[in-house]
Amino acid sequence: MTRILKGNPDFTIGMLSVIFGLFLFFVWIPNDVETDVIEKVRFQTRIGDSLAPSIAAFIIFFSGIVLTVQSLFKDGHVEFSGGNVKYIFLLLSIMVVSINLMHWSGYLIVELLKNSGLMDEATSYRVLRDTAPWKYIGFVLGGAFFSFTLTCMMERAVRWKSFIISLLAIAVLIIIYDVPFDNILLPPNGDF
Amino acid sequence: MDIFDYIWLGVLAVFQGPALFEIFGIGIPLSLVMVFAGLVLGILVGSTPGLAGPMAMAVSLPILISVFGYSADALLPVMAFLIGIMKGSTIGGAVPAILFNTPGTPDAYMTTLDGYPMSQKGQAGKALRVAHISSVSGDTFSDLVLFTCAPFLAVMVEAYLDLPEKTALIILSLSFIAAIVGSSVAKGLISMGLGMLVAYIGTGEDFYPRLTVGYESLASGFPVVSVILGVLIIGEVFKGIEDIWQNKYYKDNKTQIPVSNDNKLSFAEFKNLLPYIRNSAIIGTIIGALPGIGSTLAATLGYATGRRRFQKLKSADEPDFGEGAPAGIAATEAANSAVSGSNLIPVLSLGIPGNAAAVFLILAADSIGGFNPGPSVFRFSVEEVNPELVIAFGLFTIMFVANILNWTVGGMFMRSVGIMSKIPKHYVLPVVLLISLTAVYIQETSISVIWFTIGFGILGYIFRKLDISPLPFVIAYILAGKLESTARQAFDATNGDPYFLFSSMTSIVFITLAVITILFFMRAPKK
Repeated sequence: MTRILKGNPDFTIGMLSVIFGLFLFFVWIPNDVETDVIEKVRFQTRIGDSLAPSIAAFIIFFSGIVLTVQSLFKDGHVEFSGGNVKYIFLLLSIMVVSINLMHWSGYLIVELLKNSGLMDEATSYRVLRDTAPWKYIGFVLGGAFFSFTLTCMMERAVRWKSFIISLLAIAVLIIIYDVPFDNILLPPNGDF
Repeated sequence: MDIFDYIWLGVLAVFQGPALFEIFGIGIPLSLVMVFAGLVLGILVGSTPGLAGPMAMAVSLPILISVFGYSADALLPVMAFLIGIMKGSTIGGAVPAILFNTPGTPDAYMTTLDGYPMSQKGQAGKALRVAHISSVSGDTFSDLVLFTCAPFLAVMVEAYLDLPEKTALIILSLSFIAAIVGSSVAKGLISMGLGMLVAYIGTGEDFYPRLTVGYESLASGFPVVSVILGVLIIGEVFKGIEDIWQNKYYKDNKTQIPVSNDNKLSFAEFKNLLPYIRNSAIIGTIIGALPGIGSTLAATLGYATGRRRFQKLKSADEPDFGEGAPAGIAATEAANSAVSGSNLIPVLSLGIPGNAAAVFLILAADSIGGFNPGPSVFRFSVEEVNPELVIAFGLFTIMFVANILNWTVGGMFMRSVGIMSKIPKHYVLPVVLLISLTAVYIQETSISVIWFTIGFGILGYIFRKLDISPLPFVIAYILAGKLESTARQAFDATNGDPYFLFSSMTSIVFITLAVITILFFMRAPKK
């Protein structure tokens, strides 16, 4: 019991699995699958769509019980600390900014040019999405930001070298993925 | 059509396929060029710490599909490239292990024990030659076992197993993988259960897509590439980035490697190593044939067996294992490389992937179509040609060619890629992440798929942090659909018998073995 109070990661994983298995079995599957475990269609008995997910739920539930019981008799040797949560938060923040930069920068620049009269009103990003340099704007800005910030995070320093390597990496990716092919759209151009 | 006709057609499919260019008027077949290119890339990737063969396979696949399309002609060149990567990375992993005490791949860890001391004594060249020859010997032996056993096993499965038995066999395979992989059986089963659950989202036979929580974008399930790349590759990269970030570690590897005059490998020295290579090749091949058991275990067992032999036979002036014994490198490298060929036995004969590389070969076959790895491939139909069987023998031919290339030019490439080991991981990992996400995007052309991939990447990261192996998740995800459809067919074929899994002695044996495997490994403590 003391071990549980001290925090046994395997115990927590086991309990979460038990709860998730029960949630699947009693809430998610009954409410989000049309047919039962077994269904009867014109005098014929068939396996319904609920059976396979129910077996998956049972496996998660059963293995959760086993892990919980085992954790009471031996020490868990894994750790998931606040530092890991902080890392995921930081990583996700970088990704949210980078991917949104990648997604919208090309489109916004085209809209800005249209509004300032430097581009024809009838033009849209969709028309330009497979034309240089427009097709590279989002990929270069978002991709370079992504690679640069992650490198800086690991180095715990902002260096020109990291920035140049990030730009070079993006250039190489464009050469590999875009230049030789007519039928490939770099991110985010397929979304427009 | 007899068996020799099929073998010959397979060989011709590779050598008489479309030529990429000509040398002195002789066309060089595309598949040969692809296997060579894949091999070189594999050696480069294997020798770069932080990268691994499956990563290169994952990011290459969308490009290969874009180049070659989805036609039947695309299959052999694409598979040739992936097989080349698989084989190249097995020998490349030894390079940083020997030169810088940094294993390029996890299974090369044992190679550092003797490789790095040899390197410090100025024998890096000799250590690399031992690693190369042992690795290629183990791989070649393993491939020969694959060529012999896979068709035989597949024919047996087709002849003796009906639908209930096939369902029981998939259950046995999943139980085995969940039980054997990772730190505990319970965690293996959690990973497997989650993999099955994800596979069942948005699929099924009803008009209403199941388990989608009302999201239309999930109506046809998660994109396969986002699940597999996310959990297997992105999760690993996330963990790698955190390791560097948390440890506040980054430094350029500027180690100088001393050079002595003793860097050749004589025939007499090779002859002395042969028993170690032989024993480890057998160990690696047996372990590789069992789905889910990684090459790390094979390397450990090969090393331990080699050390026992060495202790009995060593002379007083020879360095011991762990102090720079060439036999230590030979025992490790032959064992971990012998896994790669026999790992394809369950893939080709049963359609069950046993490791991450096999997962990407199955993904390639699924994406392109025209070849469904499994027992039906080895149907030796006499009156009409079975195209899948021709492709299977084409793949064997490609593996054979890859081995010849590995024997001849592989060693030279291996000894010249030491520079790759010096690339700092903190530059490599963000680029790998970006390449992977770009690869996913060009295949699915939707930003939402990038988010799905990142989501599965976080799941893969959490798995690794909680000491849960992601491999049962991925293999269960791949096999879940097949398990459900085979069970449905078996249920229908037995007129709705709920006990169809116990309808024959064979399926009873499989199910009993599945239960025994789980119970046995649950009792036995794992390390």
